[in-house]
Amino acid sequence: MLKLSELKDIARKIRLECLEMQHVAHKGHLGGAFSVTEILVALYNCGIVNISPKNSNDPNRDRIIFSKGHDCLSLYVVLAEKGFFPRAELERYGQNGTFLGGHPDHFIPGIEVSSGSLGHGLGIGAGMAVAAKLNNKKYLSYVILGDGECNEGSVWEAATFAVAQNLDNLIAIIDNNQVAATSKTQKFMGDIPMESKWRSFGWDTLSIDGNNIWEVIKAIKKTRVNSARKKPLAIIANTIKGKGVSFMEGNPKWHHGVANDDQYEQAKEELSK
Amino acid sequence: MNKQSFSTNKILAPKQQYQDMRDAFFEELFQIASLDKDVIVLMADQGAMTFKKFEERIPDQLINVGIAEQNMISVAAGLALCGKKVFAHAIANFTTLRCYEQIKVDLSIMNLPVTIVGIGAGFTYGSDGPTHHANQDIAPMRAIPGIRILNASDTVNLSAFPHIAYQTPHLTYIRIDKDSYTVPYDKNHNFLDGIYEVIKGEETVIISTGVMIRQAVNIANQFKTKVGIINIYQPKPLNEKKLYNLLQPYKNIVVIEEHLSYGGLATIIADFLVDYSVNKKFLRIGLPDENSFIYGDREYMHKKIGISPSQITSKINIFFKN
Repeated sequence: MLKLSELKDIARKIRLECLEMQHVAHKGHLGGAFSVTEILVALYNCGIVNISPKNSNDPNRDRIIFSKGHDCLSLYVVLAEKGFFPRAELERYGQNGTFLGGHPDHFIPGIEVSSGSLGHGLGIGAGMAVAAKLNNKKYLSYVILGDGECNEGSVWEAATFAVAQNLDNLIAIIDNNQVAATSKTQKFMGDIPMESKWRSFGWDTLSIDGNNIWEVIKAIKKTRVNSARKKPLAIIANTIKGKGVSFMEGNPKWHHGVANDDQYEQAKEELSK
Repeated sequence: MNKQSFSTNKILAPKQQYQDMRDAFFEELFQIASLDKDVIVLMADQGAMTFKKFEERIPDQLINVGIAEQNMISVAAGLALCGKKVFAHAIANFTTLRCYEQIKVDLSIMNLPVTIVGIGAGFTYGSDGPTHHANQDIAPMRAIPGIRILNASDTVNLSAFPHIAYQTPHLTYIRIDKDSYTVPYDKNHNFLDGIYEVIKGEETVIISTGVMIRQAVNIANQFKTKVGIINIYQPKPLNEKKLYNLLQPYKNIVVIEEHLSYGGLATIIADFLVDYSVNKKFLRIGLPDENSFIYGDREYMHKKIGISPSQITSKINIFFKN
């Protein structure tokens, strides 16, 4: 595995590339793409999760479902870096005829399922986890959700189902940045902590600093250890929306706000350090 | 979808005959599932007699997802992505309207050959009120890109449906009625046709689907040889070539359905007639643009709404005169 300093640098460069892509395309959701960056680096760049361009059709591969599809900018960069598709495609993001849409579709190499409509990924991941048990496969299904996404009722249908089916091979990673498109999520979801919601539904939980790459890696490593409790695991990754750019951090404006030239220059400078 | 993409070109009626509609479907499905462990039936806490056999003999292949139809469709997608052949079963409204977006995103956009099974077509649950009336589902389901819709009218075509879904995998919506009704088919009828000419007529043809085929037979008999009947048990994709040929001898078309009279079969046929520049007199008889707060059995409801056999006959007579 790469050194911690190298992984941090990868995360910084991903954010810089997202900024560049959004600036050129004049569209894209930067805030959530920045909050989820370390989660993606830990999943794709640390050799813990069994997924690569070489095994993308292998029935034994681990599954990563990016349920919060709107934040796909950083996912696209990670997949291109990993070699799922040529890096040149990133330059075509947002241009007419690109295959990298504003929300990811299943025909993009490395994308397991189309997403963009929130609240679908956990149920699909649960189906994959059931299939793994029926087929005696050891792969794990990781589903990346936003905390705002957890407002969707279908998430809790899936959460209930996963416990009833003893899906200890299903992991929900909640990018808990606590900011949605118009306000803090607390404003419409109340004060109940994310972790206690998942725990009350019967999941094992783990609460971490989701922008601390080392903490995320440790959490992902734990998913590889067989649980004796036969429960699915929710990793509450506490993150900062817009992480890495001072004026974007924690501000709903940057859910899908587009930086003007001055903001772009300032963000670029901050992310270049 | 076209026939070239099918893995088989002909599906005949199964040998076994059934009295009950649900038995016709689930017994055949059970036989298929018994031979293929990748066939998985999901149910949203909606039972059927045959499920006992699943529980006893192939328990891993029946999963009760509970009262959670949205999740049922997403789980179906996850299973299908891992090679499972999934049948997702619930009451018709709840397995279509309740989870419509999951069908759009997880199944249609993902191009997955899952079979959605809805019990309670039309007024099957008439006395249970409008929450349970599946009389608008064909319209939105027809708008799902690439979906195939199979609408059972009798135990014979319904018993062929699981074989169609299994042998020619495609995103499919199967509508099931609860009553029992058995009709003879030509023993060589290929159920992949989607259309069956029940009675050959002379001037007028009744085109119908589902339970209303039974009414159509009673009505057509009153007009002796004058009125024919075409059963469209696969409203989508419509077998346009066969329909075009079957319609040649007729001057008048009457569409009868237990569905809102727009968006369902009448609209599908009207679209076809316009697209093919077929100019015939056209009468649609279906449900009015309103929710039904009439509580009773089917016969009672049809009479109150004005679609009982005698009322439809009167409407057709007036249509003839004009």
